[in-house]
Amino acid sequence: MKSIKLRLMLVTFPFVVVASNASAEQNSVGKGYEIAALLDTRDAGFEDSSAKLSMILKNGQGAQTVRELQIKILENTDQGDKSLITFDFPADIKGTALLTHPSREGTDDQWLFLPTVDRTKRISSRNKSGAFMGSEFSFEDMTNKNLEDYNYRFLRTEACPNKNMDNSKCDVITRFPVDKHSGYSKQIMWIEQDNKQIHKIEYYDRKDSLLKVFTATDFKLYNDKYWRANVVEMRNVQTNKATVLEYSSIQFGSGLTKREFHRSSLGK
Amino acid sequence: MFPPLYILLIFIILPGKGVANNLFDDFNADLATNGRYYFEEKSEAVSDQLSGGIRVEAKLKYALEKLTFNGEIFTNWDSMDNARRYTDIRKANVYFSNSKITLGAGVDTFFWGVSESINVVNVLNQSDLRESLDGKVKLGQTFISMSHPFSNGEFSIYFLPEFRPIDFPERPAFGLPVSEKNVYENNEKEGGFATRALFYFSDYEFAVSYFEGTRRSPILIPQVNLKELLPYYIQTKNVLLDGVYLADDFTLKLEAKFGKERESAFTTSNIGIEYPSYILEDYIDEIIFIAEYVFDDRGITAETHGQNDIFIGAKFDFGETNQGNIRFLYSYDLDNKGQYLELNYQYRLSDYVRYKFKFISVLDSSPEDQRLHALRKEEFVKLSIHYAF
Repeated sequence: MKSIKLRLMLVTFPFVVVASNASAEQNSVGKGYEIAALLDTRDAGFEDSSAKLSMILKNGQGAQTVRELQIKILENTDQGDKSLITFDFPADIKGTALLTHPSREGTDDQWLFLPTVDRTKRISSRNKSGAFMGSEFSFEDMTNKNLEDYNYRFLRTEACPNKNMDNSKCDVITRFPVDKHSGYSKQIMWIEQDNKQIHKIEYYDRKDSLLKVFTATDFKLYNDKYWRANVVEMRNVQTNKATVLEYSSIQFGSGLTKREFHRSSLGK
Repeated sequence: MFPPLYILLIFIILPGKGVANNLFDDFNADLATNGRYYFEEKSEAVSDQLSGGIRVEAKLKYALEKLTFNGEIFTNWDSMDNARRYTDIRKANVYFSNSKITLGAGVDTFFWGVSESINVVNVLNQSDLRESLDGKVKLGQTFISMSHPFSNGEFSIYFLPEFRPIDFPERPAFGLPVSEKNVYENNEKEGGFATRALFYFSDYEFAVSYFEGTRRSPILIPQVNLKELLPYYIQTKNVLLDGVYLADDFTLKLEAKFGKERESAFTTSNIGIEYPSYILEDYIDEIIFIAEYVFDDRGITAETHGQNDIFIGAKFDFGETNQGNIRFLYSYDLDNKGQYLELNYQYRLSDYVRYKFKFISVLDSSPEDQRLHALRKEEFVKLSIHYAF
């Protein structure tokens, strides 16, 4: 009898393990999606926002170059928030603008306006992994992401990076880009449980090696609802180059219109 | 001769920057000094192999609720070439925009097209050949326009009240000096009118346009007795199509023009492919390779040297902050075996100072390829140092 029980256990054990792993996997995917969905809706109702940015490009030896730009975002619950990034400095690239219309079903529409030739150029999917104006941010990094752009997996909960003093807990999730032209194989994100602030993202290249690390600091609450980091950094761990974005004059609900985010408004 | 006007402009613009910034939302200027060297002396035209110059370009913008004012002035002084001593208002316009309509009036430079080599559909503005021989730099064009944006595109109509003939530089010469006198078909000299409907959806973006007026590029008729070329401007009616298709790994591009000139129908097109490559990504983020085929069935009345020509080229940024840029273009004429080479290089030394280098060469040409053949022995290099603020 004992022997029969043992045999039965030996026979059923692999199925139990596989089933249990599958169930854990399903739970991990479900929880990852749930956290990402909460992140996606955290700013619902913000209407529009705008800010001035200093983009500080640092090379491997620490030398710095500064560029000034503005960013405007228009809430668009239908297809994803539209964004317009315009360069103010240096003067020879002043007016250069990147307009992004995200899409939930297909690839995002992206246009680059080049004032020196008065020309608006459509950016192809393949270009999106390219560096944005010489920075460590790619065109892909500069777009607002939709929930549908990734598949998710929950990894663990741990103390938030850089916030060890106040016991803040972060959910750590991995997201896998759906777009095959993404420059990344996956991204690991640290999201604070209470207020859904993104503290850190690790970007892995197509060979699955760690490529870049994004960190956000100096969070401030605007309009009693919207948390924004005033300083973010993207560091390329393979080249040791980094780009820092320092935000100022952050405003919400200033009445931006659809017209300002229309392709034909570029350069006008 | 000392260029007092240009020096005066620099002294007005430099301290005026602070005042201008208070008056306008945006003000910026680009001051440059340049040198140009032709490899061969040109006895038929002028013999200025080496020349120097000063160039000033200033832009401003002011927005007042739904109104936007834009201004842009360009002025150039050259030590040897009288034709290169000129000022042009590129932009002086006002636009009124609301969610349904945009109304515009004044002077503006418009760009239509998608190609890298020759833009056969970019027909509204006259080319500034004194600044750039490839016709890509344009003079300001007076206009009145009305546009209606819709969710995936825009419809526009333009009335262009004034026609501006080309002002040819002394060099590069077109074989013979170009007459200052212009002749017009039926004495008609019309800026013309145009309409354009632009659409974008998914991976497609295309525009269908119509233009009618005096053709911007003249036919250069040799005047045997006077030993010069007489610009002859003809009337043209064009239906224009330009668009891109974003494929997974490359971009397909098309510019086509169908029309009627001097009672004859014609077709011209530029079909191309753009392929981004990352083969040198350890050194250069991205190299974009370009291959285009330009066709024009108008023979000697064609607007450019591309009538059955292949263009290949590449462009890329380099440097730790992409402070350098190189663009290279080579063309080969499938009929007459003519070859043309162009190299552009730009490098930013600091936030304010950059230099540019340009080299053009007609490697080979035959008399049948009139436009290219006229430019043989006109190879030059140009170096300019820019201060932008």
